[in-house]
Amino acid sequence: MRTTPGTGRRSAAPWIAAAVAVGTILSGCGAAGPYPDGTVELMIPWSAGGGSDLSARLFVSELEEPLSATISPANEPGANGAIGWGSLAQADNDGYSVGLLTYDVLSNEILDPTSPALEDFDILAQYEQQELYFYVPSDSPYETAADLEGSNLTVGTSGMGGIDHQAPAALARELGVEWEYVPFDGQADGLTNLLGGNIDAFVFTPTVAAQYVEDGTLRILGTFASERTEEYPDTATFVEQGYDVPPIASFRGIAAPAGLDEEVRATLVEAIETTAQDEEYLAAAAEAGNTPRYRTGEDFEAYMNELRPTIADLLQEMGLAQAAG
Amino acid sequence: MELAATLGNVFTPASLMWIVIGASAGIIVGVIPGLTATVAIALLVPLTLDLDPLHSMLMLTGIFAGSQYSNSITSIMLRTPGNPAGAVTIFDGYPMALKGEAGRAIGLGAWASAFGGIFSVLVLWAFSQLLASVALKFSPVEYFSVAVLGLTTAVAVTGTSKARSLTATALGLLVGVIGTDPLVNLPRFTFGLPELRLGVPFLAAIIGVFAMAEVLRLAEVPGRKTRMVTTIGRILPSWADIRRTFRPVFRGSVIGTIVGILPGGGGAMASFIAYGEAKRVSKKPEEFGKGSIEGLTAPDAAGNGVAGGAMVPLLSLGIPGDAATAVMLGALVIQGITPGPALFDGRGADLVYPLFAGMLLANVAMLIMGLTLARPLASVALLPRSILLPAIATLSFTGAFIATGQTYLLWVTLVFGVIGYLMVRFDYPVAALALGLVLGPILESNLRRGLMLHDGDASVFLTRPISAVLLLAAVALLVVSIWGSRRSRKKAAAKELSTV
Repeated sequence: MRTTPGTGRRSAAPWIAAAVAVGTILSGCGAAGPYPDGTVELMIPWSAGGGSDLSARLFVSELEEPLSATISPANEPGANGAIGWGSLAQADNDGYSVGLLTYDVLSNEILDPTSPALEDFDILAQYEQQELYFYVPSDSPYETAADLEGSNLTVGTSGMGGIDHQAPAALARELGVEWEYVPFDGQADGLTNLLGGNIDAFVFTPTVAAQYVEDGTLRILGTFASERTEEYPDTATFVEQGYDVPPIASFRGIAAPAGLDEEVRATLVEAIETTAQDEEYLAAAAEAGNTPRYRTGEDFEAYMNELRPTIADLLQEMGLAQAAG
Repeated sequence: MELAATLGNVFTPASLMWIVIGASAGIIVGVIPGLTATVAIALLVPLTLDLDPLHSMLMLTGIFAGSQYSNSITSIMLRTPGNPAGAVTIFDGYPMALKGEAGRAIGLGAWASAFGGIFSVLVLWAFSQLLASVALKFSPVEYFSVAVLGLTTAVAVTGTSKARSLTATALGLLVGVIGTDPLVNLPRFTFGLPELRLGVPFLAAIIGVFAMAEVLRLAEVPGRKTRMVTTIGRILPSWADIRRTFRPVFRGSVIGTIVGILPGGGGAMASFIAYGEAKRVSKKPEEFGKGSIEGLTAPDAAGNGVAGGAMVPLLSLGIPGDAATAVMLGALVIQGITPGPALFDGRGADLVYPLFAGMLLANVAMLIMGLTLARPLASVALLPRSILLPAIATLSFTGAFIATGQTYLLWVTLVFGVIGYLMVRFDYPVAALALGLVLGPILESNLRRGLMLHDGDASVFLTRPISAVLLLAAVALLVVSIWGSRRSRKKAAAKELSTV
């Protein structure tokens, strides 16, 4: 042997590299089988660990079996969801890129003309919905919505123009009052300030403030839902109380880039529908404090389309709408 | 519940196993910069779904403690902070490593973190409901003033000249306004680039200014086989060192616990304030930044003190104090436990007290595992530079990228690497820039919120008592530090004259 062990080792390295390179290329050459054949990526436009993130991860972990594919969630947070939805709208519409759709997709469309619109997506289904309630401290003089006539409140929100800003603004418009809105860093921060007496009211989904209603620290004046809810059957809707507010609710659904192949779409929709009714998912979601509510893609799209002009009007009045460019 | 009885309930083999598994996972994850405790917990929450509530919480607290600890190892050995608080560990930890005292730094860091963690859990155990009501007294007005105090610390304790510190802090604040406006959700200073709407995420930027900048600086030094860190040395802290650092560690623990109780306070601010306080009371402030063990241990204790402090608003109000506790809240809710007043009025007592006991044990486990694992983990830094520098660069990029997978963050790390390199080259304190970046958004949004809540009346910052005290403390700190640095410069000048 003329080669020393040292040089022998060195000469093996390129071969290993070549094997890895060729192997990588070959593995990418698999013949295209029936969908799904490979990993489906789920884009989550919110940061890891938040309510929407945990909900989506829970849902798709149960979706893997009926879809018979691995689903890998990927967070793309930023700019109120616009970054993630922007990249979902531009992803390949081959069924391997899907994403989480939440209420803000409707707001972004009006707040920021560069963000994608509903038409950029193939709406597959809604799987969860949380209703909104109007909370005040129990020591406040307001008992019902009617007491709010002529009031001058400072209302907390978790972001200017977001859902918990639009909802009280819609109520204020019906009441004919003008309130002041102060944006906080999310609902938890808003709750601290409501409990600490720095603000007069806040619109939450029920999970955030439930125990403070139970122990009598906070009072609910009404819900924005179109009918009374299971959680608070004694709480009247604002519509019942004579104030015609739109059915604004926080929802979670699944969408893909527009233009899915019919067969691929049918496979996805079927798997999502199965999961949405799956006992295991329903139990896990209930335990996590999520409220499952299934809507088919068509119903979901119709619901969102019904809300769109209302949101546009509201944001216009709030001075937050941007001219479409 | 009795302390001893509770400890007995938790002290079962199964519980210990979950704590150790959590702490190991935390240590492994924490070594990778960018994978913070928050990300680690978020990734591992699904694994805890099938455990019973106590074991799942023990595992999560183990992850928390473990990742805190290994964040400081990479700060000391590689100048690569795993989280914003780790930036403060670099100030004295990295110089100690370069002096061949890496082991001493790691051992002392482990003792300080464990003390801070245990101290804060005991405070949590004894006073959480009382303290929760204090947290509610903090409105945006007070938060603004805390942030001012934090920034003043940056100017007071960093750099060779106050003007340079001030410049670097201001640069950090300016960079912080790029991106989506925190209150109005509209893009500003984005120059039409969609990526800039994310702003400059401070973790990617901090990894850039510290780790990437150091790679660039060391690449200039000739000799590819040479080592940056040559020995690790003794790890187990000596009795003399523990006695010498007891006071700074104790003060750091108190500061960390207090800042942790305020929702949104955060570890970086606590670490900075603890560092500033340790330097202010020190008899040898000139050693700070050059490998002072007081400067190393005070912020480490504060950083881990925050962990217990942040559990106060989480458990007693149901309000998460930071991102990591927000993920913990999610995990608790999944287990069917809703933190808040209900947890303490009997309904959740069988879980809360074992949880406290578990947090104590997690800190002890972290100390033991930390001291035994320190040598293998730290020996990575002994590799020759030709291997180590590319490895740090790769880790820095991974760290920036890993949490969200957005390529834009790689650019942030690279650009801030160059900025950090230039700052070191021209003697501007990088730490002041980092704190400006971290505190800028807190400062701005609370200033605006405070003004909105009081109809634009700026005098509330002085008429509300807590805020007024905090602002006065900030002014005093600034005056003392400027006066102090003038005097020491005069002294140095006089000394030079006399020796000539």
